[in-house]
Amino acid sequence: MDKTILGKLREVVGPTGMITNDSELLVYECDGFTIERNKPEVVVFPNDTDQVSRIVKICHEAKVPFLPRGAGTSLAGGCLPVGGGVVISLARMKRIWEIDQRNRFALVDPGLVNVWLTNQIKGAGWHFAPDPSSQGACTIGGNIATNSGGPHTLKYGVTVNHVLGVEMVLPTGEIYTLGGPVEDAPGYDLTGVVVGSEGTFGIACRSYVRLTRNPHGYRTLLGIFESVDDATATISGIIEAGIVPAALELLDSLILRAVEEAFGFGFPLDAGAVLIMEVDGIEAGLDEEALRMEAIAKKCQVREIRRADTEDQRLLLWKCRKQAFGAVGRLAPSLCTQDGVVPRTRLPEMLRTIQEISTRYDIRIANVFHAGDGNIHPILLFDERDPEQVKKVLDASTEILDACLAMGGSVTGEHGIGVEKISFMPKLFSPVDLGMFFRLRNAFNPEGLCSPGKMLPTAGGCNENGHQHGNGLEVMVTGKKASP
Amino acid sequence: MSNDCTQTGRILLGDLDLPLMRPLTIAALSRLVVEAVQTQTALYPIGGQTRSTLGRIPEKPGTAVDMTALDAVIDHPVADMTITVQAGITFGKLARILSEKGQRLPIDSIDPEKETIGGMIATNASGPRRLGHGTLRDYVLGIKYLTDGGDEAKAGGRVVKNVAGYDLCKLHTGALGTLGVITEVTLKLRPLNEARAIVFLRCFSTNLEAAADTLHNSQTRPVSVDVLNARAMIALANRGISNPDPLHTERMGWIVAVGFEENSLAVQWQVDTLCQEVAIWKPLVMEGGQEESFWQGLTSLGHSSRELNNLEQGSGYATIKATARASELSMVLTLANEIAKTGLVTGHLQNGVARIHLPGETPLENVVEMAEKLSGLALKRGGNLILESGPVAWRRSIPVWGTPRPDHEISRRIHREMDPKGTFNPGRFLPGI
Repeated sequence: MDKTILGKLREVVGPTGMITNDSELLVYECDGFTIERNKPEVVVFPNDTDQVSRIVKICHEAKVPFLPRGAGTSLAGGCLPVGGGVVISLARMKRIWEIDQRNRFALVDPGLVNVWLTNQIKGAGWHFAPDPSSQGACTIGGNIATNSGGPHTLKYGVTVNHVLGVEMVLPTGEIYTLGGPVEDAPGYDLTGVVVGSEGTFGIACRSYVRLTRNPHGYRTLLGIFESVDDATATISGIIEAGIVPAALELLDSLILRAVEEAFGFGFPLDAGAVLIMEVDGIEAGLDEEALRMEAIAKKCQVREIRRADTEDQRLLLWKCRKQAFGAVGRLAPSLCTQDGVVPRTRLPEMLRTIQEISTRYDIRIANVFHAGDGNIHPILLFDERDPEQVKKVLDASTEILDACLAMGGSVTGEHGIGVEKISFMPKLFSPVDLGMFFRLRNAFNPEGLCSPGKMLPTAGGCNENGHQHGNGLEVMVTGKKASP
Repeated sequence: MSNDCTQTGRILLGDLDLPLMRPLTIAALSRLVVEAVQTQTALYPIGGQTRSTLGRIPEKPGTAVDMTALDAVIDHPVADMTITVQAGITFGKLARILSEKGQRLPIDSIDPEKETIGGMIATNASGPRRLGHGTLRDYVLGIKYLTDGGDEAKAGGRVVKNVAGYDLCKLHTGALGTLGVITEVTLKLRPLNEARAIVFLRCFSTNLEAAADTLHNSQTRPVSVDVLNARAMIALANRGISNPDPLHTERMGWIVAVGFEENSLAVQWQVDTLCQEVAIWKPLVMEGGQEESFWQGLTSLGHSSRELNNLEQGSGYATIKATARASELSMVLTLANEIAKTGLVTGHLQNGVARIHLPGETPLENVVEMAEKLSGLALKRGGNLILESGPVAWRRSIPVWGTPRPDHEISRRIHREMDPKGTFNPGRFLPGI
């Protein structure tokens, strides 16, 4: 990178606010999606929105690609610096600017770790509802970029349902506040469309997020099933019965073994599947709802129902669930976590398909997922040092996601398109649909310098009159991609 | 003219006298779009005509399109708790289909038999229960719309969780049809609730804020917290909804209505708990079937179609919406009640949204003066002032969409990209759109 650009960046963040050393840059060559990597040329660590804006202005003037990065927990290559250039790490921007319980919002920095906000307010009876499994590490800025979910989004909604406004640095460096803590701001729902745009519209800095009152109580049941089929039948039964559980999470036998080894919760190792069923809310009526779920599970041949009766048991159970991905690390050197969605009633069929794919490719696949939303997370176990296995994993992943599409679902429920799933976009969307996406992106990011190579395919993906952008970057990257 | 699209009459939109076309198919609608783009004229989609007096006065000549023939149910996978419908379906028809299966779309409608889903999405319709259930933006999972090329484009999908592609569902919700003609939507559904109840509190302007604070700290989780001035309560009573305390309204007090919807045990516990917490405000409980008509009446207050048709003749009500931080709303409501001498004043207390329904015959200069005062206060409290419905003269004299915000520039950039020729409902939304 041009020395004068580095010099300008140094003027903004100071010598301790940037990394240019090759070995340190390695950390930033990928995120949780490790199959593709590319090193940035420099990583900068701004302290506030103004510095972000100045950095972006420098990149914009020099036509250097740039992208924001939170904790790097994304699983679809959302923070992969495909075009090289500048990674803008928001890790040092982690302040809570304002907590206004009376008006039910907080104003927070993008680098604030998700669970820190909840920890700050839980004593007062509030929480931040989106609770991705990585919430101990992932940042709120990253949650906004990918519109993160989590187990409890079944009842409480995903990130976009909890973001009221965003202070954005546009790819030109201009700063705008979209939306805000007061509802019904006139104009388009810019906050709504920025959440989930995977950093391709600009850099979300401070955000106004909704605070949610804590429920009075929980009833957390653990259903132990002989088969995955019985567990998924229970899920359909619960949803169809009009119960709105706070969470419905399924763990299959492979996951159970890994989690049991790691945490010793006491899961039966011979079970086909375990279903975590949780209802929450006003204390009155919770027992009745729990009983209704129990009755449905019994109809579906549940072997045993256990209750997490104490808060400690409940927290341990959730720890097992949320750290399941980590525990699976014991089973194989490399993991590829998929993120498909199917209509909830198609879950039994989908899980049988995954089983069949696993057998056919001779790749072990563990399942732990947000069953109530129909959001599956098959984890493919492999060794990335073996190119043949890598190819098998990519092919098997593609088959799984194609099956989701064939059932009327989607290829991502919460992890995002990133770079990993760009090749699926033309399967999900027509050229006309994609053309409109390009037009929308042009309104924010016409030169494509901000987060290039994410979300939208390039070649042949756009037939809209004169709206195609070929800045070269995305084409180059797509060419390099070991495309799944 | 072909047999899948006929002119059914003419319609007055502001001062524009437009032919009203009724396409029976998406293909016919698409032809109307292509023709409008080619002739550089405008296309004004019309649903139930319940919100035709919303927005600035359109000036671009063109065609009005009656969407109500496009009202099919495309898919209703009951156990998945989603439904896909064409945009012209009325809220009432949809609600009946859903309630047969124990489901609903928990959004309040101003006129269920007239209002279309497409129109509700375009205007981001909402009512009292938005506090507990959210607004339409939280329920639109997928959308299809006609682009300026006349092609049907989609975004989102038919599953309840999906982050593939940009969320154009959010962008179209509340965009007043300026980004394309919404043709089809997939909605997330909720089960019907087992029980409901409303607790009424009685207070005066001097202690409205204290009541709001008490409710904020309540152990209960209401789905709605609304406040009505005496005139609003009387107007509801005139429509057959029982007034919890006629004597109190006679003394020009405020009524605060706190609503619950859940399983019956939870509702009962909350009613009991709230009544203890707010004992000094002399709570009264409404149960046993009137709650739904109360919420419905409150949503449609000052809004009914009959009244809208009469607006230009100086009867019926026009509506000003003032927003502010929820903690500041009591102040806005109190000022509105003082200056709008004949107005019906209501507010979603915990959402920070107030409405002032003014008789259409109110002299314009009074309205302008009132709007300036309210706008000043709302702006200071982080909010804005929007004219939701009004006669043409009002809409020419008052900034309909309130004081411009800097981010309106981004809305305009988006609009320039997505509707560069200004075909879709031009001139009614933000200035420049």
